[in-house]
Amino acid sequence: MSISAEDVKRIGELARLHLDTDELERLTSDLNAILQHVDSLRNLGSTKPPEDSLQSGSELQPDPQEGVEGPDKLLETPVDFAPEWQEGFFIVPAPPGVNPSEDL
Amino acid sequence: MSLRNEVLSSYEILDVRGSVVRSLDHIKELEGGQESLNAFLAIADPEDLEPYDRGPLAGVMVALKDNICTKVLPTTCGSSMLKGYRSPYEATAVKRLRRAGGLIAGKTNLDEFGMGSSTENSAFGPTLNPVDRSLVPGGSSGGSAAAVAAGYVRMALGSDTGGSVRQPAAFCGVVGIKPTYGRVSRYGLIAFASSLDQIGTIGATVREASLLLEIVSGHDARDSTSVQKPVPSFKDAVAQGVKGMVIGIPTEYFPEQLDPPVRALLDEACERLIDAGAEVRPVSLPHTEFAIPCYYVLATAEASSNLARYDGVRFGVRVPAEGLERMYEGTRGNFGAEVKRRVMLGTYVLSSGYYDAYYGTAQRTRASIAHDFKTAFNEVDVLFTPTSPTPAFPLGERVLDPVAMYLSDVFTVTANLAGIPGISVPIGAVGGLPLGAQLLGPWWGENHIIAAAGALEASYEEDI
Repeated sequence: MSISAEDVKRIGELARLHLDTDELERLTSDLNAILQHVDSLRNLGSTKPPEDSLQSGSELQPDPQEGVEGPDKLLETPVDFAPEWQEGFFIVPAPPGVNPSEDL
Repeated sequence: MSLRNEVLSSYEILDVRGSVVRSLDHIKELEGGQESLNAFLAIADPEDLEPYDRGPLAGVMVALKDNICTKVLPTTCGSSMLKGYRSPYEATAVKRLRRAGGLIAGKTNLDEFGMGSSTENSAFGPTLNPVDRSLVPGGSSGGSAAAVAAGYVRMALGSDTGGSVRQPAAFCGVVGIKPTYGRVSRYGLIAFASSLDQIGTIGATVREASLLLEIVSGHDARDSTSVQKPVPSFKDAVAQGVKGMVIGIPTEYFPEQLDPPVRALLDEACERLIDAGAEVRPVSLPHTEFAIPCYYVLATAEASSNLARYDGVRFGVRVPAEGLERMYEGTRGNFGAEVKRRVMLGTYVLSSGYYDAYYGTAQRTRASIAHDFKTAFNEVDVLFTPTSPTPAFPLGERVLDPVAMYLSDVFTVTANLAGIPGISVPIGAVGGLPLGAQLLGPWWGENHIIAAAGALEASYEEDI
């Protein structure tokens, strides 16, 4: 996947970084080179990790201590009650003045 | 004052204070002169030294990477953004080493906010490798590794997010340990990528790096990711040996492209472990090839979030401008090129539409990498790998090629992604440049890797 100088400018705005012309040109080239390498991840596609694989940090949790309450499992997951839900986020109406179609 | 009519501590009898003051003066002279390595960003003043006179580190000077908070000296993260910043509190690891009698020698140079593999990305200039001043010392804890290798101090603290303790230790010919994620409190460690960051130790020997690790380890209620586990005696593990230990050789860490002299030294080190009583067998870690892209998605995503606080309001040297947005942008212009590159990449991979393609996939890959290790550690006690594909490279060689720089970390990032401990130990030199071998252990298995590293070190000492 390649990104344009316009995309990089927009990312700079999101990151609150002012980029001059030279920086914009250099970052566009750098980010494209990095993303080309990162795109090898896509070879994995949507393959799910094995059932018994460690979810991040699961091996590292403290041993349960006697008398210490752990968090309860949710009766309902957010997916059950969210009006709209995508990629782990609630979908909410756009704030005034923001055009959701102006995507990156 | 005499022994006859005064109660004197060993500290006073040995004139530890006088010796420390002379050492600090010596470091100041060397670092202030033409032969400076630029390893230190700040050196302690003798009047700042506290009169701790007991404990396993009594009178021992320790250098601290400058992303670890201290009250006495500034904490800059190697960034213009935090120039002159003085933390109102000190890191738990610092408190622990001071309680053990350790004395803070100073703060060491680093790649800005820990982002780099060569210590060239510091706003205060690069650190030079004491073995050969035309080479990088590795990074991002290059200042700490150089300070130990140059003999300024015997021990130092660094931080390891993707190999930042182990790789510079290998490049400078010293020992570096990254503990299990959660073993050492991150309270007071300025965040780069919170799920990967861990304070690590650098020592002139395995014993010194292990002793320092033992002192700074342990649960801390102020870091919710610090884990309540007993801390075994790491320094006692150094001499345990490897008799009966099963050591795995991951085939993916010995690619065909590995330079023959590098491979030869690694093969020799392996033979030495076998001679010391270990059994060696091949294992496979099939997701290794995805480790670098996975790491650079997750680390930059976390960095873009963690570094949002440097806006001139919450943190950072404010650059006045008309209007809030301009002030934000002006202030964040204090970041160097590599930090900007990573914040940009992190912002991109987290942006709407790309989140699952990059961040979600990387998280699933991370779980698969951890699963590879879990499977391997069902068969073997530790894994033996190169720390880095090459010895130290020339200053400036990779600055303009971020992908080449990122690939320097290919053998170290996996330990951070999985949260397992790793140690780098010197195994000789290629063309006069130090080379390190890495030993990786299962979660909370620092004792195993320290024992194996201790056996290797002892084997090389026998040659002398």
